[in-house]
Amino acid sequence: MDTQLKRGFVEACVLKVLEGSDNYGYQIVQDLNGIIDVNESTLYPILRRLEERQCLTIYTIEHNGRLRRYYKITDDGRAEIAGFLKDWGEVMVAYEFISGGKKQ
Amino acid sequence: MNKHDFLVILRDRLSGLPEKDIQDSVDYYSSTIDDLAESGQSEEAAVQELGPIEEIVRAIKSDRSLKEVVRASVQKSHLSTGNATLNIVLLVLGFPLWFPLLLTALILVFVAYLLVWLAPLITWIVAGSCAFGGLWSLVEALIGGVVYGPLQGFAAAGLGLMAIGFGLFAGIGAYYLTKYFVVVSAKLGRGLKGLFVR
Repeated sequence: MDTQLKRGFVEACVLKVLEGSDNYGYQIVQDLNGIIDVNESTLYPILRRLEERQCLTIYTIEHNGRLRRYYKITDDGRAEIAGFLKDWGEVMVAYEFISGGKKQ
Repeated sequence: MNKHDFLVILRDRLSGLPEKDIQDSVDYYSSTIDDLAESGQSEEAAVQELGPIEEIVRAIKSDRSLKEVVRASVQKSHLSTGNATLNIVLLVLGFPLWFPLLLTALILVFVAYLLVWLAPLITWIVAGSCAFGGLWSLVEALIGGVVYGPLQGFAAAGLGLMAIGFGLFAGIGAYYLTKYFVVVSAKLGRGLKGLFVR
């Protein structure tokens, strides 16, 4: 898949996971296992970008005597998911047409 | 490689980036390795799973601004002798050598940029002069029509309208050329950035 395209999908997937509940890096990767190809290293720049765009905020919680970073979705992040779904809704109409599933 | 070694190397490879960014990366990877280890694998296996450190560094750097990346590469390069005073002395002594080279490089980049923009610029100028000339011709047609008679007036008006028409076409062309060249310039900029981000 095209890198830019994939990045957009991973971003939306991460936001979707966080929409369910606040989460931390390792668990986000686990939740997306089988949905989209992402690991802890490719996830990091994506989390940073989402933070810069204020789609999520970060807080830390003590866990087993160390700090664990949690990510929390913001209203901008929720709006991002809605925007993604709207854009891809339009794309899917074209997809149906191209794949021949629906006669125009 | 264990967690400690990994984080030391990561910190070293990122040196030159703002400390805040380095700390952020180190915190993330430290926490992630702990989480991976907690899920039952050894620290070494956890580090292994993160992938090659070069990839990680590239991903982090490609996200930073060009200015930060250049600063980081200069600080990491072997051009430095490690001694600040000696660096300055060499910099001053080498001035006749490096200054013309730097100037040439800058001029080449500037010329490349200029060439890229020449085509849309000329098209805009053609469009602008046609439109202006056409409008002026219409004004003249009025004056000429009165002074020299209707025949000259109509001829001037016809020429004027033709020029305006051509100017409009050229204007549309110039608009699309400009749009296209904005993309080309952006690519040129990214190409320059690519020289520094390996």
